[in-house]
Amino acid sequence: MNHEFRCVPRIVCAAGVLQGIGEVFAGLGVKRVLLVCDPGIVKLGFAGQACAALEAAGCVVEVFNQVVADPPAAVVRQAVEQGRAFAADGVLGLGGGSSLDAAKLVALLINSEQPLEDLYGTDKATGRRLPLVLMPTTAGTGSEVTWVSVITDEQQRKQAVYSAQLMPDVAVLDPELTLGLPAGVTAATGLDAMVHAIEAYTSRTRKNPIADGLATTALGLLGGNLRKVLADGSDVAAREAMLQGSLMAGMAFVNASVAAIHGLAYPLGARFHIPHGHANALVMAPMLRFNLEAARGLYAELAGYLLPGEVFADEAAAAQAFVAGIEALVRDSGLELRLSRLGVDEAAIPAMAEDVVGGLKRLIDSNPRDMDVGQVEAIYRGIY
Amino acid sequence: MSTFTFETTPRVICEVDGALRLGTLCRELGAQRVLLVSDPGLQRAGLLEAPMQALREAGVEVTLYSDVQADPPEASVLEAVAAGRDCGAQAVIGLGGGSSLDTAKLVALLCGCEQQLADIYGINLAQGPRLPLIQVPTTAGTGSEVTAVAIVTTPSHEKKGVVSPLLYPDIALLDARLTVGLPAAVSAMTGVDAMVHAIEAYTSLHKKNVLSDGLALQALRLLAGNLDRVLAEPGDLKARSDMLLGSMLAGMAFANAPVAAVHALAYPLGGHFHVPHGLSNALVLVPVLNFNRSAAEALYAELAPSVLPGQRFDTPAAACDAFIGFMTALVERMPFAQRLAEVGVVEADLDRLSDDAMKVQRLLVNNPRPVTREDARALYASVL
Repeated sequence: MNHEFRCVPRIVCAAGVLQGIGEVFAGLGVKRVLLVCDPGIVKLGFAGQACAALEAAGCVVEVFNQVVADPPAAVVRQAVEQGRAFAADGVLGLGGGSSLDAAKLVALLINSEQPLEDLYGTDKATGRRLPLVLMPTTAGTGSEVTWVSVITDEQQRKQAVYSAQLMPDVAVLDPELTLGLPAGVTAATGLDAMVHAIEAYTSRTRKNPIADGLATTALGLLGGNLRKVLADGSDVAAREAMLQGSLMAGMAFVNASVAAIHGLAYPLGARFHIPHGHANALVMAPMLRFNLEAARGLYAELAGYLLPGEVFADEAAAAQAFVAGIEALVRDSGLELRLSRLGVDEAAIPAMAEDVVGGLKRLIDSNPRDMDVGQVEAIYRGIY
Repeated sequence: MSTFTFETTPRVICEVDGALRLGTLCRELGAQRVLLVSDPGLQRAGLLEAPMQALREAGVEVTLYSDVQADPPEASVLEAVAAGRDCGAQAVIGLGGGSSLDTAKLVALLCGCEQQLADIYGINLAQGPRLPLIQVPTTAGTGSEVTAVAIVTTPSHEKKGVVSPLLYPDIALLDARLTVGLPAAVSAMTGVDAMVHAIEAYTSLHKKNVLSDGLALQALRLLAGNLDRVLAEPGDLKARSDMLLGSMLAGMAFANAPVAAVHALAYPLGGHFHVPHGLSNALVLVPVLNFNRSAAEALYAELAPSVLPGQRFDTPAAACDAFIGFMTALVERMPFAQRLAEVGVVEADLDRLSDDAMKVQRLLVNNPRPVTREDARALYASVL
């Protein structure tokens, strides 16, 4: 019954709110904004719109547009140098999870003497970050409401920084920024967000009533709108619901933990560069099957949110319907679902299973059912 | 589509005996001298000794201001501010019911900046900064630990409010141990008050949003599932924790989706007859639910599964009936007054009460159904 819960203190959600981003920074007393994004955001014109809105509110803006997926430490350092030279007094992260994760560290390091590598781990940051606003352009990682940042170090290892200092001041949701997302990205990031909600709700380690309320609401929003945005990417209301669901799933999982689905997804990203959301989508359905008996009661509860209005004979039927409902969503997502067609080397499966059971034990600990190396291998082989 | 802004307390700690961690938490916030703001009842009950001892053991110098009064008068707030200035407080802890927490908010604000209390009545007039603030509620409750409002009674017996996001504390600390000694009537009144927060947030006409909805549903689930339990077993720490969590979640919801007619009709009962706030709400709740039914049937139907988990309803009308029936039966079995006559109201008072209720337009505008003066009078008359 003991829980600790952290939450972004302010959320703004409105179609077109990118045009009002200047007021958000003015409210924080910021005059010189470093915009952290990737080249795609510049091409789409969003970076230009953000600059115009900020300048209209009297801010001076500098753009760092070199973020790449799984951001390397060198990119973060480069952005920090640019921000210092510019004398930034606030940071805007605009983009997918990589840009938001990079922006968090940049806001912290511009204002700190600590070297980046000293931050790896939990609660290592000693400095206070600059004012920070995060605007996701996918729905999503939920990074805009978490205090975690994952980057890739010089040895190509993923390094996570956990620090309360990484929680932004404001998370801003603008569904118009997601209207043009390609279907594949929409599907992968949408399923990723659903995994956040599901794994938070079934977390064996830190499940709690606050996260539960957020996770169930998130699952209802995501499950009810993913097919809509895949059928019509320009459906603003459905895009907005996906962003809201992603945010609430983010609030839930960062306070309750994710579990083995994420555990099995990480090696696929680290070794074969499968995007994080897609990697989660790959292992999601077989993992829910694997967990079904251990998580039956909880999956039955989630069935009411994924399949509102449906009536189930009993708990077992509800849990079955939940897993079948997710399987159908994954199948209909249009994503490639075989590892063999995604460049994964079959010979790497035993090593990937070792990565999971050895290196990501904390995620197995949060899973409703324990897993050994053989069971992890079997999941990978089942989707090979 | 829904455009909304959501603000809340960034950190919540829910932990039995968490008040014994106050020293560590103050050090984390960089404070070595703190003012503890509480009321004489809690001091008499001996609830302040252990937290103060824990503060001292952590090397934090603590000064106690324990003269908070219900519906805090301006003079009492200013006295507490002077106590904070005199001891050179670097942080403020509010420990108590809504009045202590409201006082603590203003002390933290006025000790941290140059503004005067008279300058900040109203919305967003406070400029800050405020001192670090930790709020520890001892009822479940007002939700004041996660709201941005403080209400003060002026020398002319007028209620004035300070509304500012600066009033969200740094930490809300929920320690069920502090609530086990609450008298049954207080547990009941404050518990129903918290349920009203959740219900009115969920039906709030303008600012209702997916986030406040999700929190309100979960709040209602926790409150409905545990209120009888804490009355039967006052020492049940799990049930007490869940009540505190439910009250806080309801607070998060109504801080962003404001309350309506139940509160508007309750305020004059407090003002003229000194009926405790929770009881005032409980007295008018059921008449208002029945009155709102024609406009809010669908929303009340959505609330039914939260108070009656596992039950199936054939139609929204049946679910709405079940919800109103549940709340009616719950209020009737609570150990407190059920009729206005029991708190000293006579027929001749109804006009004055109705006139005053109509003055609370800022809340009436949130009601799902418009309320006229005649409606208000009829609502009061129905529970006379």
